[in-house]
Amino acid sequence: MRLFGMVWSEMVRRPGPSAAALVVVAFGVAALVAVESVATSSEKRVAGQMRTLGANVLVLPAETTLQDYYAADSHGESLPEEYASRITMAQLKGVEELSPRLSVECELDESSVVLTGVLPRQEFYEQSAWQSFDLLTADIDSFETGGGLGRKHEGCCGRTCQLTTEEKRSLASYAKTRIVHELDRDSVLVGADVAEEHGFAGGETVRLLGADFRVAGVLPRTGTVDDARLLGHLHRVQEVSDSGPVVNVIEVMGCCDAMAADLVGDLKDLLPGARVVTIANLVEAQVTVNGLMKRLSYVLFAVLVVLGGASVASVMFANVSERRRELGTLMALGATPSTVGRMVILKAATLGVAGAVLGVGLGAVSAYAVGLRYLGFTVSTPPAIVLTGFGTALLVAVVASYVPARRAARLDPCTCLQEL
Amino acid sequence: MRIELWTVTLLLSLPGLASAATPGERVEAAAASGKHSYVMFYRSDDDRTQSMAETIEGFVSQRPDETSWVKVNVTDSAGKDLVERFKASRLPLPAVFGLAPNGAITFVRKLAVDTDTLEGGIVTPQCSAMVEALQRQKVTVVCFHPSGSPAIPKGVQALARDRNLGPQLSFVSAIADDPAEARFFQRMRVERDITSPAVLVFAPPGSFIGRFPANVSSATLAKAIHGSGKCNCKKCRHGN
Repeated sequence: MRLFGMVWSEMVRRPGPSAAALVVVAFGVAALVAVESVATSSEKRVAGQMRTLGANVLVLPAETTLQDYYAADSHGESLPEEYASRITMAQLKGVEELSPRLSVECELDESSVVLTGVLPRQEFYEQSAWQSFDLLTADIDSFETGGGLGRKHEGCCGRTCQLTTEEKRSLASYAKTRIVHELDRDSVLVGADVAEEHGFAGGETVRLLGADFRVAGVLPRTGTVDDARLLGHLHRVQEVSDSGPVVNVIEVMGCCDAMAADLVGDLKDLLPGARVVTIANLVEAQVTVNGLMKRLSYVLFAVLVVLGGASVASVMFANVSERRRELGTLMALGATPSTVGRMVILKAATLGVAGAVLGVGLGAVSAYAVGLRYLGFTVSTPPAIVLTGFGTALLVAVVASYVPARRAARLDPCTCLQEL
Repeated sequence: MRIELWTVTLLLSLPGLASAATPGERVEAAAASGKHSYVMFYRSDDDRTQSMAETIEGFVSQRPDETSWVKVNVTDSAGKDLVERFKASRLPLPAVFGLAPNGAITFVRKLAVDTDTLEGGIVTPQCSAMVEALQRQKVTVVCFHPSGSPAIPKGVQALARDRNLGPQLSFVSAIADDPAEARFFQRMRVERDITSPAVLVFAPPGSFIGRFPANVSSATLAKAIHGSGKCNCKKCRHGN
């Protein structure tokens, strides 16, 4: 009989102790994989937000607290829409786009949806152009000293700067900019999930808050809360919801980090009654939690090593004691001490691998479920974490079985046979 | 019949009845007679509103041939067309807009205004043409010509013919011996005693792209416009 076959038949014959060790190893690996997966996905998400939204700033009512950038308009508090005009009229350097938003709950085909009022980009261009003459005279004055905005703009990597007018008009650019270029007052744009659920393709008429809207188009999937929303013209949404000229949030898209460096201070000076939040502020809490989770994963790693190791060692010691006669017989029949030792180590390694398989699966599924249910983002398990789980479980099992294996290899077959 | 017409003319010329025209109509009438208008929006007759109104009224009374003004309550239906045009109900109020006769907005101020701003809002015809073009989102090329030499530089002519950029550009010219444009030269920092044309390029909403000599090539102008990020070219990504 081959070595593994002997190990396997022994495990089947005495399933209880093996199962106990396997469960301990599996839980240790599962906890390690789950926490590491959540921490890694969260770090990636933070890095992604900093990369894509780093230059962005949120202007919120003073009393709001906020956890998610994309749901910044869901707190129910409001601030005057004129704040957006103040920002436009102040012509702050580094402001590439503005997006004041007002979200209201409403019914659509007997299901609850969120209708978000947004102000199309075209209206801000118009407001900005009111100050053309002021801007150009100031720009001429500062040009000689290198302050000309037209010249400074060279090399700018702002998202909207990269788009032609046609691209800005296309709804496809919404996924990149989250700004609607044009939208008439009686039209709505439909998020990808809403379109899927209600079968919208464009051209339909929907009744929201007692008013009829034409579905002007379906927005591309953004992976944000916008997928489950309908977007209407801010002023029309204010009318139908009877909200008055208010918004829940003003999203200020910074042109790029370099140009938006002083933006936060400028906005705080301009709007003393509002709360100005940067993406760095917003992800600060998440970064702290990520750090805690990283440290927790080190603790779990230690727990896996100690508890898993102790469990495997204890099971293997018991197993060797219990099988003294069997092992002695094997040795009397010609099995070498190293074969017996390898049998013990192989059993422990099998437990380690099986525990790792179970643990990685359990950990990955739990992390995914927790992410989906409680964190609002998809958690994936990177291969490096899977390898760490496997490697650790195997190593712990092998190291923990070394002493029992040596003990088994040193058994005296004569003594064992006398016990028969 | 003749008496009736005379009566109507007389009645319309009475100040009380003239003011019966809506603020929008009064702005249109002022533009038709070549006057600049100041449109002041307010919500309540508070101190700020009164102070702003006094400043504007005082200034306009000194320049009655060049300027006029209207005061519009954003809640009053009479001024609805202006309120909607300038979306004034959503602005910090009081606010005042300066309008050139061609409709170009020469300034907007919220909460307070001073006479220097009101003075600065009076622009020359070519300057207002430039501002109006920028407000239509056009990259604007302005040629300042020396006295008696209105010839457009060749580089500018070639640029106007450019198939990609041409349709996105607007061209404005001012000549040094036109006294009406003296202020335009001054504000654009171009000497009136120039001996050859100066070409200034602006991008919307109000970025100064650069000043170029008369012999500038269309390629140099095009490069500067592309660099401003306002070229709107499909293949041009200035950040790359």
